[in-house]
Amino acid sequence: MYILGINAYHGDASAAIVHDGKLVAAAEEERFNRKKHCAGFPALAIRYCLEAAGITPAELDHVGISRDPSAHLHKKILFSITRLSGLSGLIAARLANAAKVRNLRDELARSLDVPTDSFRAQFHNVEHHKAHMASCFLVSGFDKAAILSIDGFGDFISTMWGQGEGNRIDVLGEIEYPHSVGIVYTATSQYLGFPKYGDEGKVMGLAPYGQPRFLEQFRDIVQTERDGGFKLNLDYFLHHSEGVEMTWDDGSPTIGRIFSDKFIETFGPARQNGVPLAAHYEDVAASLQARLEEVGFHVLKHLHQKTGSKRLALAGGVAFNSVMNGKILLNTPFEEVYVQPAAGDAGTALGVCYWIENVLLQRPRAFIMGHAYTGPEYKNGQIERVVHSSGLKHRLLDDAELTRAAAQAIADGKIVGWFQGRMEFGPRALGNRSIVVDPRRPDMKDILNARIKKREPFRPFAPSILEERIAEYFEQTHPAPSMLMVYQIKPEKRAAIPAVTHVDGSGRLQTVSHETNPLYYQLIREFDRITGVPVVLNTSFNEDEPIVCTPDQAMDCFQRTRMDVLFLGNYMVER
Amino acid sequence: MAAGAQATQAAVHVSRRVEKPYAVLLLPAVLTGTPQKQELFLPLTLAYLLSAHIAFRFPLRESALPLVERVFDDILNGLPKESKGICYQSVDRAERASVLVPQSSLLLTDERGLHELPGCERLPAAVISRSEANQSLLRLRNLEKIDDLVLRAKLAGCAQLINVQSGGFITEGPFSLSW
Repeated sequence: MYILGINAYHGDASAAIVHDGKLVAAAEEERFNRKKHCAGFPALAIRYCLEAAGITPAELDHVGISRDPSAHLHKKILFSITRLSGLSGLIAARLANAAKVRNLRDELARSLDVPTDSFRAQFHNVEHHKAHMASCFLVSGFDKAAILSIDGFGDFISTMWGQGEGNRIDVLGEIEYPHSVGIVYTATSQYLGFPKYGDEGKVMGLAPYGQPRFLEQFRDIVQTERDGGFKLNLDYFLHHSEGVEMTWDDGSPTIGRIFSDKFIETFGPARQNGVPLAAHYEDVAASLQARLEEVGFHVLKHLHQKTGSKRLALAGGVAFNSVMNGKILLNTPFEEVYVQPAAGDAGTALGVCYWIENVLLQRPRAFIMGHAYTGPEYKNGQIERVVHSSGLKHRLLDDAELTRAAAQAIADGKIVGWFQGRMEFGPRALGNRSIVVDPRRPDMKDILNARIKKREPFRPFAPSILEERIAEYFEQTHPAPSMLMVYQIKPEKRAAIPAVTHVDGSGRLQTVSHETNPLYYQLIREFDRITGVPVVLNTSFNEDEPIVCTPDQAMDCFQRTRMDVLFLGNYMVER
Repeated sequence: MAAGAQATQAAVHVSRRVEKPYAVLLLPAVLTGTPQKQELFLPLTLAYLLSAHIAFRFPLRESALPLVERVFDDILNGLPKESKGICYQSVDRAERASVLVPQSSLLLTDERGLHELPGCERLPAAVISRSEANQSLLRLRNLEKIDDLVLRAKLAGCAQLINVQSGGFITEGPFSLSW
């Protein structure tokens, strides 16, 4: 049985395909069409999924999308009619493109260039947050767990929590539009001069530079409630009264201003993008992050009380807040946390598949998502053409030579492009589409930024560490294979890996095991053999663009930037 | 009586005396079968919203009343209360509900209700329906016969909101995303 899951018309459009309960492929559309956070219909990702499964559209048994227009429909109508001002203006604003409306079957047929009646599949709509919940719990390996889905909005809900057991997911509570901590984070990021979709991670990186001296103000902005929920002081926001325009004219989403004048009255003038960051703004970021953590732990403690579970499955865009994630075990009674690698909206395509497979069809759970390597891969035969046509000096190595040569290059201070195996699903490069450098050099962060990444100087770079060595370097030891946890680096080790130690002594680590990525594991082992440090700096293989997907894109990025050496499959390519 | 139910009664005036013109909310599920809570949310929401402009008569079996009250409690929670009244009319047989319809100014029903009501083709009607993809739709009929322009506009607005939501997807931007 083949099930295709789709996330469309949310940020990070994506597709996933499952065959008899096993995940065959999953990928974001942005990797194929090269439009960051693409929010359209994931036509290319769907084509890739079908190709990876080796089937035609007619062979699909079920197709689902992580959006259910009927969910909470009466609430949407009530909200629109009773809260937003001016019915005629509302209708005009919302329905400007009503003529473009199509249904999923039509859209899928159009994107695959097949007749609408060529599908024998059943079509499903899965509510956004239920797809999120399925995307983490049903592939977590937990038989029973508490589940939290928390993001901006989807199907009129910002936060949904519940309990999973076997094939059941029971919703225990939810928070409706317009109340959302995701919206608070996005609004504050806009205020701080980071207006792009996905910029919230920058603010998380900025927060440790500041002091949370505006925490009381943020406690007024987001107020916790006794039932484990929270509500916003809507005076600080526009989205509930004027709506928020989101456009994707070129495929990449942009979001209109969310914060109100009251926000400016409270915190002063908004920072313009590109203006130097004053300490004041660092303090706003620190306060926001502190309040997010307070609210997050408030929800989670309540969820633990309700479920009694020591295990937590976590998804939604806010689950990308790895600083909060890393403190969950320290601040709540939970003892195990599973965050699916594509925890944001992209992951709902995966959730749709497993909602259909396990919840709707009640087929047994048969898959644990232990890694994120679900995208396209390229054999050396395909890579050879790219290498030869580049005209660059190259050598073909076996795996052992490859990892030794790469580790030596890293230890020699070179910037190494590392393109291997299947592309990662989710926003993090986890050792298959990575740029890897020496974490021991204090200047490496600046070198990387100057030569390739061009990122804001306050943003940290991340360490990959051999899983069995985590206790030597970090204060916590719970595995973090998806780079979605920030832990404190042990004080005595910070000087050993300065390029991946953030200003507050933390690191957003990836634990690497032989089981999930043997080649990358071996690379780090070789680096450890040479240097005595089982850690490398791992950043995504890109330059202000989506992470590279194909060997051509990797070669293009290599030649555009000042990377020193590229390991493309088993080819070592030098300038 | 639960606090929620009291709030509902205060908000949606329940009275045996309803002045003309009136609208009828006709739902076969509350007249003949065992209604599901989920299927009542949309029609009761629409009735509440429209009752700001026109009083409603709502025939139902006594046995359905507790569920209807609970749904109204959920819908009205925290909302400004603005209504000319939704008058429950207890009926013991479904056919008795239909006598209210010919003199009404507006009929709010579903496909099944419309099917079971022959001879009301000229009445202004809002009919809750289902798309091929099993999404809710609102079909409007004889809207031009409604004199109250604000009520007419609200009906049109509700229909557009529901139908666009249910239609699925907007294939190219810009669009407005508020939920």
